[in-house]
Amino acid sequence: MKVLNPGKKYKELSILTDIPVWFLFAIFITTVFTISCTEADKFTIGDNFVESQTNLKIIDTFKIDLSTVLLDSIATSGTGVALVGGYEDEEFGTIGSESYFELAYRTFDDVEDLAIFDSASFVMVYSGYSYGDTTSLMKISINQLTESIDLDGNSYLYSNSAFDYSQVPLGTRLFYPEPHSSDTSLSIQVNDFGNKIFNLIIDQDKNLATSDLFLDYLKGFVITSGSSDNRAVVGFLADESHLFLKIYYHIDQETSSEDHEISIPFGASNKQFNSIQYDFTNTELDNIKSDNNEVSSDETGNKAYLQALVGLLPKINFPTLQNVLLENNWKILKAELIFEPVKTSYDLFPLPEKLYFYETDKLNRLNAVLKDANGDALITSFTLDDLYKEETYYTFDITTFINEEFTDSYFDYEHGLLIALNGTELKSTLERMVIEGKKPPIKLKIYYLSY
Amino acid sequence: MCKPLKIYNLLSFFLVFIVFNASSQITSSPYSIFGLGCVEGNSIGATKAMGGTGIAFMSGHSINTLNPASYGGLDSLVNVFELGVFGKYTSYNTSNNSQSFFNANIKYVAMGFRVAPKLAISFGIIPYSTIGYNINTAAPIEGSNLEYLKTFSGEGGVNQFYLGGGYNITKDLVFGINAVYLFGTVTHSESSESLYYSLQDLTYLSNINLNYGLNYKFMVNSWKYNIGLIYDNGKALRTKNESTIITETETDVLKSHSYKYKIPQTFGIGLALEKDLFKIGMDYEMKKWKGIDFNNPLLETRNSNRYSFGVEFPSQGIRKRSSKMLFYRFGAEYCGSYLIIDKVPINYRSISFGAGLPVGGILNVINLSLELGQNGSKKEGLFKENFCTLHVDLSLKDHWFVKRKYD
Repeated sequence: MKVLNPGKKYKELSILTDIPVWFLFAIFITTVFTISCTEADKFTIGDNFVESQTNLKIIDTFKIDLSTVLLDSIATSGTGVALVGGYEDEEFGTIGSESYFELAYRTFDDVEDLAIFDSASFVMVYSGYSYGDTTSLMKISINQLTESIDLDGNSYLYSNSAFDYSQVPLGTRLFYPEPHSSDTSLSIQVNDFGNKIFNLIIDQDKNLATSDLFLDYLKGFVITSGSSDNRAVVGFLADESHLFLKIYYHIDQETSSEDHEISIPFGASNKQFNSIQYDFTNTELDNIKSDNNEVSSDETGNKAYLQALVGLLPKINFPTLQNVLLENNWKILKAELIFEPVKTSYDLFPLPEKLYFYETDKLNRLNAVLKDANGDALITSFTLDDLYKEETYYTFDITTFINEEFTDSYFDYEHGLLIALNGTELKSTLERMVIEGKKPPIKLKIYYLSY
Repeated sequence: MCKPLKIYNLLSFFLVFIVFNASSQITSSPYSIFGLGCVEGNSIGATKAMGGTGIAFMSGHSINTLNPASYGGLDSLVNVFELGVFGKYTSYNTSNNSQSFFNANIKYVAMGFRVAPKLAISFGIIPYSTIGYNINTAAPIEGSNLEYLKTFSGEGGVNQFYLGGGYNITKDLVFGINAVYLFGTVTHSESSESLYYSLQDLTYLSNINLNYGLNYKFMVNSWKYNIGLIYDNGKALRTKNESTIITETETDVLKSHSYKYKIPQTFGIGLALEKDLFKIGMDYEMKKWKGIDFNNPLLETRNSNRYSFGVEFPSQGIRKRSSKMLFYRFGAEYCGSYLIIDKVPINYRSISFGAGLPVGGILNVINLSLELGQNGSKKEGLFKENFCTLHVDLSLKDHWFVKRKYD
């Protein structure tokens, strides 16, 4: 019998016993098989074996009560923007804004007796915000207050706060607004008032001696809409580096003259606020104040109104939602509100893109903003059909709100929702919209799972 | 003889294992939605390449878990450790549709050794039945003309942790017994990813069971004959059910169901002929599922019958023992399963072949086997599964009582 060479034998067999070869083979097979496989979520074979124990339906027949709420006031102090002007709105009546502020105390260098007053102006810079038709000529005035701006123990000043002021303006300005040119300043000449201050400075008057005396002497100022013909509200930056009273003078030398200016800046920011005037006469909202500041959409032409600084907010309640509690074993997987703006309501004024929902109660208080599961404020999704206006609508996911309301197996009708803007926009803009209440009505779409 | 395993061999093995383990389901068959799922059979390792045949085979190079009496064949000087993984490619064919899936996982872990001259024991974990399916349907949303993707899925099964002994009553007769701890969970769920909900029905199963085996050998004309018998009295499983509904924000516990699950009574008989290193065997095994009701109107149960045969022969011819010798194996299996779905019996048939490859000495073996088969039927809107399974089973042995001399 021939004896095999042990070394040779080992070599012959090494290919078969070499694991990496088998390993590569396994990898190859695995790869080929995996690639040619049906994706897990496309696999359908066996669907005749399964028996559903869950049933999903969409219910959108819940009744929704829609109304408009008028908030008492909105805190407007310290926003850094002075809103000035007014306009008329077919849906909302006439709206105007006046802006109150103080100047800051400063000590004044001695001015030579020979100095000659030239002119004085309040100088302002556009904030970039405007609402209404800014292509028309605008007139604004600046008036001096006859009483000091007093917080009266509160933290804020409100859209309905007001202080007495002299009806004779210190100065008036007619201009075409350029709200988007932030490097352009607008000045209102106040020569008589400026000359008076200039003389106080030359005389080193005692009213300039301390901050209290100074502020008590000047009190404050209000920029008012100088005309009922204004077509827009325009914003100016109200802070110490953008709003000044400037006094210009010169000193004659032997051969030439030297120009000088004195600048008194904007003062305390917590005393700057915008006071909003509105008049609903000849609109659907005419009776809202006599109706306890809430009026059902049935009485306002099946519409509900939102306007930020005015404090008009649409409110919704769900009077029949507790009916789902009649069933056992259900879950609300998704609850969605869908509503449209009135088609003819946004030709002149743009629609707000982001709406926020706030919880409210019997007293129509603006409570917590609705948040998603991560604690972020929920925002409506918005679809705009600019051309035909047929497909313009808002949708809002209120699943969390509805499910939280149901956790105690009771749905309180008084727990409604206010539709509004975010806090900053609410207190510093005039964004508005009109919600359609009937064609089509506001809809609550519930994805209802029973099992 | 005692050359340690080459490191790269081990590394390769574990790499294969990781690749296989990346896909987690142990089975994938929509048929496993019924009852206890797919009954796996106790065939592991070398017997997998022989149509799952082995009731009459004794354990030797690798552990044979088909019959506890087979432990009586374990060598007194070595302990055996085994680990098996598999990868299975299945295509599912209805009369008008075809889809496919690949799944892979660990199959079993087992150890065996002799504790006394007449007693050898083995323990390990092997599956009894497995459930794994994922069926997507387009479900209507009532009150609209919309549909959503609803997924029915199931996973789990019954595992066996067994501890068994084979006792050599005489030189030719071995009696074996396994104490089996049956345990597992069966989860069936219905869910939607887009609307984020899941209705889950989870059942914990457990009980302790015994099964028995006998093996008798005799010689006729220099052929060694082995006859094996197995018996299992069956056992009702203790169940505990938990039903929950899960949504994005809530998890509610629902009224639990009561399910009755049972391991059926089992009989099996096998015959093996051996001459030198050549082996042939055949099995018949019956499980009395008939009358076990799984409370599903689509499902009827019948007794399952398994028939198989297998052959093993060495690579270098009989009488040429060598440390580099391979064993080749082939076999076939037919099983009329316990399932009759919508009046259609579900039958399983496969052929298999493979080899036992020594690694780093004759004591360590990799058993590779490829099984090609079919399950089910296209009748009555059902589907036929064509599958191809690669089993990679590692059998490691170590001397316990012998001092190494050649290191």
